[in-house]
Amino acid sequence: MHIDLLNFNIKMKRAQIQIGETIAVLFVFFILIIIGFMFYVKVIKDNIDIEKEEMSQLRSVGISQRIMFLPEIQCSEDNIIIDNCIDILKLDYAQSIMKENEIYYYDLLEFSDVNVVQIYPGEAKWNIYSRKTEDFSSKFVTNVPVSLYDPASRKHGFGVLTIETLFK
Amino acid sequence: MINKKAFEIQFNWIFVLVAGAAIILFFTVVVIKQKNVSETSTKATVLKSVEAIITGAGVSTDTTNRIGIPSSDINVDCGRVSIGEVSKQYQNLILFAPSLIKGDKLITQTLAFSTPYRATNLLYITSPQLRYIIIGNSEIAKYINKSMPAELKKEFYKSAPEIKNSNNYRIRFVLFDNIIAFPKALEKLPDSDVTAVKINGDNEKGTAEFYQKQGSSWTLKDTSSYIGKQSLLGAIYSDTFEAYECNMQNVFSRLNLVTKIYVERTKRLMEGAVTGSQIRCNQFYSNALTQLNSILAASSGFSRENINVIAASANSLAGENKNAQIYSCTLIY
Amino acid sequence: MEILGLAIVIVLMLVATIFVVRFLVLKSPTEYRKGFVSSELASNMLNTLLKTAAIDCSQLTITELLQDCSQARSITCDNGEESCQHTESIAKNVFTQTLDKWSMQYEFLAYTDPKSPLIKLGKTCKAEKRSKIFPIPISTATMYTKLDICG
Repeated sequence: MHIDLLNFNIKMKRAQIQIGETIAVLFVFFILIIIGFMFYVKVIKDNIDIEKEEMSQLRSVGISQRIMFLPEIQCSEDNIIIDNCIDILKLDYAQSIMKENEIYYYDLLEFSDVNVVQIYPGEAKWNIYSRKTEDFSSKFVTNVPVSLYDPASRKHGFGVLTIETLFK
Repeated sequence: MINKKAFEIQFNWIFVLVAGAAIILFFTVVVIKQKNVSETSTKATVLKSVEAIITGAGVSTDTTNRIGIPSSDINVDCGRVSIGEVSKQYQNLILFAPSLIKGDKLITQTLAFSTPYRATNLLYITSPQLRYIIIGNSEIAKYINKSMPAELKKEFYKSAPEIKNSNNYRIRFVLFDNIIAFPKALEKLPDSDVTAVKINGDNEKGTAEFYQKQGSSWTLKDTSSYIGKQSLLGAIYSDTFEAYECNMQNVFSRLNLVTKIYVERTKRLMEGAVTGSQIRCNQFYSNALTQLNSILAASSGFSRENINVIAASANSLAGENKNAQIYSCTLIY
Repeated sequence: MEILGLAIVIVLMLVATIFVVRFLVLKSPTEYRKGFVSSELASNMLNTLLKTAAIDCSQLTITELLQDCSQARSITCDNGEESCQHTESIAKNVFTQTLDKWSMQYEFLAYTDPKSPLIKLGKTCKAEKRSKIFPIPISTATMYTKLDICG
């Protein structure tokens, strides 16, 4: 009877040790899984940030391109578009039209500030679109040298199209 | 004793089973989540491509591209492009496309909408898996056939042929003469998959009747109008009357804004042309201003009456611009 | 035996970590915008400058002034400057308000013989540069304008 009880106690202890061992292995296994998962999440988060930055850059390029090709400001000669050229007669009125229809142009130009600065001859500035947000995470400024065409004198001046794009 | 040993062994098995099940469950959940994330990410990538195409369309005209994308079903609505649950909303999108674009390739085309000055670019997107059947013997039928990209699955017939089913997900008939009898081979297809547009008019303007399959016949959905080859192509690529009207309304909104600028520009040109040889220019500008004002008024809404006004004014305006060119005046556009 | 298994697992984990760090964590964003901005800048700058009309020189364009500068030098502008001097002062004014303001190094040259340029502005680029050359026809030969934007 005494020996039976002893055997039972020994077996119980062995079984407990075995269960304890399995629990310890599982614990280590899950710890490793959690560490791996945290690392994975960190990597994914970093990649999302990188992609967000790339997306913002692409959107900024897209907005800049859209502005440069707006029929509202672009020069044309018998409906043939002249690249990198802004018609200053159109520009004078485009700034008020674009301000009056800010919501319409928001679809094209999002949160941005678009200015045309005349550098030669003399100095002048036109703000053609401005819709800013305080709550932005990235900001890009693109400067594009443009010819400023005066249809009245049929002469070109030198200007810079400054496009500031803001992204949340 | 035996019972206790059996209990010990069974408990060990149950423990292993529970732990194993927990591990399998954990990984299954991770895999399912990852699969969903990956699918959404693919859809977002395709949507990004479509966005890039839309941006590109604004800056380049008269281009045709064939673009590879991951195989997807793109739904195009009025001002909305969506792939599954991922979608992008636009306020004034000008995109003529069938309501469903299927497959791993997109065919895009861009054309400038000019009346006669460029107001905006029109973007057309379709799938090479969509079948276009053009039937007509007129000059405009041949012209439209030539204007549609060669990469499309298009067939051109002078008169109604015997149509066979070649298992395309959608079929679009473009009819220039009379409406044809509904092809027997296509009767079993779902009603929404077979549509037709019947064109009455010329290169300049006309009407477009939108038909849809209903059982074994055609049913006229509605009639709209077009102005110029560019909007005619829009009526061909859009498979519903609503989508076409929505896009044309957006085109007219933009035309209205651009015309306002041309009106003011022409006024300024007139003010500057008051001396010497410029007086003749003043006359051209004055005539042009009348035409521009009539385009401005007519571009307030897309309708057949307004199209007639714009088409007539555009012709006169082109004439005034030609006169300005002949007399070395600053051009109107 | 168990130790060996553990060692293999750790080695595999280290390899995986190095791989992930190398290809994912250290990945930097692609500079799409920089490519777009710099690819067109030199070309646009030069193209726009050559079309510009000089207000003090009977509205002649920079191209016309350069043509005179490389040949007869017969044009004298309203402020007393000759074609070469006037072109140089306009170019200087434009570059000061653009490239200098944007902290971009550049070199602008106008020449028929590269060894003795008619106009030279800015400093020679020491490393990478974006370059644009525009030929201008003159009666005897061809003259060139060149703009290098450094970086």
